[in-house]
Amino acid sequence: MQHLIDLYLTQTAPLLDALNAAIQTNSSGDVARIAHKLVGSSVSCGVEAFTQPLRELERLGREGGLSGAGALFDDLRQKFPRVQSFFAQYTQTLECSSL
Amino acid sequence: MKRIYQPIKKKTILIVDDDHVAIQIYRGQFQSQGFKVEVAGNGHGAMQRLKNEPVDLLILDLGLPGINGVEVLKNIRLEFDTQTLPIIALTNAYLSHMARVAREAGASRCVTKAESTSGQMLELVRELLAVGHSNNDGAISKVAVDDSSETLPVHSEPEFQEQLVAALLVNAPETLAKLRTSHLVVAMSDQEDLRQTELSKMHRQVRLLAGSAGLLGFRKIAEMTNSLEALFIELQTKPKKITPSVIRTVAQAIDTLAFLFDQAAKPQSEKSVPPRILVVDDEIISRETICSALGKANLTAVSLDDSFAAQRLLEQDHFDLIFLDVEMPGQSGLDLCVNIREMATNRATPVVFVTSHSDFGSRAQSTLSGGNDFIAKPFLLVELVVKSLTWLFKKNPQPVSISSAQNSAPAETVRLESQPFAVPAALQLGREPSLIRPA
Repeated sequence: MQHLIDLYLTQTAPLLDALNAAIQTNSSGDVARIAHKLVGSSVSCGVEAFTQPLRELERLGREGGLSGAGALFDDLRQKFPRVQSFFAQYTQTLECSSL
Repeated sequence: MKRIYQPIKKKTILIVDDDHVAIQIYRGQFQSQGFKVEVAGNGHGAMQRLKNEPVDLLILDLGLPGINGVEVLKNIRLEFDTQTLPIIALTNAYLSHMARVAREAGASRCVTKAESTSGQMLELVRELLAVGHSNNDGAISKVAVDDSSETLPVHSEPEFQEQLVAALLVNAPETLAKLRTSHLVVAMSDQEDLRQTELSKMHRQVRLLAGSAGLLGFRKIAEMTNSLEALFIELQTKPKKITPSVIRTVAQAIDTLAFLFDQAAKPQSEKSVPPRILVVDDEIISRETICSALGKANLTAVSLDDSFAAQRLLEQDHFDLIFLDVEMPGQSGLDLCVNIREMATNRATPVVFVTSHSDFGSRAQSTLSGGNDFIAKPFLLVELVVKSLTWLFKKNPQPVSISSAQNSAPAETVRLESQPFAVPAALQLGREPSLIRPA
C-alpha cells in the first residue's frame, strides 16, 4: 500500500506539470494522453476528487478543443495539496499500526 | 513388565467457534492426544466459561459473525489473569490487518483456519503449551483415559474424515442455494439494511465452508471461500463498494464453487502447478495494484506495459489468465484480445479486462473482442483475488467466438459464462443496458 501511495504521489506531480504545459501549448493530443494516464492511476488509488475533472480534460483533448481546460486544471492544482496531505496522514496511520 | 499409569490432569483447550465441522475435527484431534476440549459458540460464552475456571489454551475464531473477535480478545486479556494464556486467533489470509490487530490485542499466534490442517493446529498447540510429543511430558498422554461425558466419541481418523467429507458434500447444494438466494437479494435490493443482512448470511455460509474445506483438504474450495469471506467482510464495512462489478464477481464465484463441489465429489488428485498470469497495462499503478492483489493469493504475474510486447510473448507462451487494460497506446487491449483469440497458445485463455466504472461502452466492446470478463476500477484487492481464482479454477473456459458475439449477442443477453441462475442484464454490464447495445 505504501509503495502504491509513494508511486502515485511521485508520478502525479510531474504529470500535472506536463498536463499544464500541454494545455498552455494547446497540445490536445498530449492533454488527452496525460489526462488518461492520470485518470487510471487516480481511480486505482481512489482519488475520486481527481477523476471527474481529469475525465473532462481527456474528453476535451480527444475532441481537439481545450476551451475550459485551464479552469479544470486549476481545480486539480488546488486539490493536489489536499491529496498529498491525506496520503501523508494515511501513511502515518499505516506506520503506527504496523509498529 | 507392569506399566503404571500416573494420574495426570489433562490440559484444557477452549475453542471459541460456531463452525461445527471445524469443532468436530479439532475436538477429535485434540482428544485423541489427551487434551480436554471445551467449546463456546460465541464471545459471551467464552467470557462466562473463563470466569469459572482457567483453561490452558484458547482458540478464538475472529471471524465469528455478529461479534468483534478482536474486542473479545482484548476483553479476555483485560478481565482475566490471562497474560500467560496462549491464545490462537483464527483469521482470514486476505485480511492481513485483522491478524495485525489481533496480535496487538494479545493473540499469541494468528492462524488461517482454511489453510491449516488439524495436524498443523495440533503441532501449534503443543508448541505453545511447550509439552512436546512425549507421553510423559506434562499433561499430554495417549494413555490418559478421556472421561469427559460431554465429549463426542473419538473416531478413527479416516472414518471420521470420511463422515465429515460426506456431510460437506451432501450439504453443499443447500449451502450454494442459500448463497444464490442471498446474492440475488443483494443484487436487486436498494435497501441497505436488507443488503447487510444478506451479506452477513453469505459471510457466515462461506466462512463455514472455508473452515471445513480447508481442514478436510479441499484446497481450491478453501481458497475460493476464504477469499469470498474476506470480500464479504470488506463489503459489510464498506457498503459503497457493492458495485455491479462486485455483484457480478460474486455470482461467478458461486458458480465456480458449484463446479468445484461437483469436482470434489469425484476422486482425483489436484495438481498444484503455479498458474501463469499476465498483466498488461501501460499505467504502472494499475499494474502494481493488480499484482499486489494477486500477491495476496500467493499468485505471481508477468507484468508488461506494452501491448505489442505482450502480443509477442503470448504468441510464444501459454498463460492461464490475462488481465488487460482497455486503452493502451499503440494497440488497445481490445485489439490485442482479438489477436489473442487467433493464437494457438492462448485461444482459450481467460481474458479479464480492467475498466473504469463509467466505461460501459468499453465493457460491451470487451465482450465483442473476445474477452471473458471485466473488473471495474477502483476495485477492492480481494475482489480481484476472487475474480482471479474464479477464472483459474474454472475448468476449460470456452473461448469466446468473436464473430458469433458480434452477430448474435443482443445487449441484454450478453451472458456470463456458466451461469445457472438468472442475473438481470442490467447487473451484468452495469445498470444501463441501453448503453451497451452493439452498434
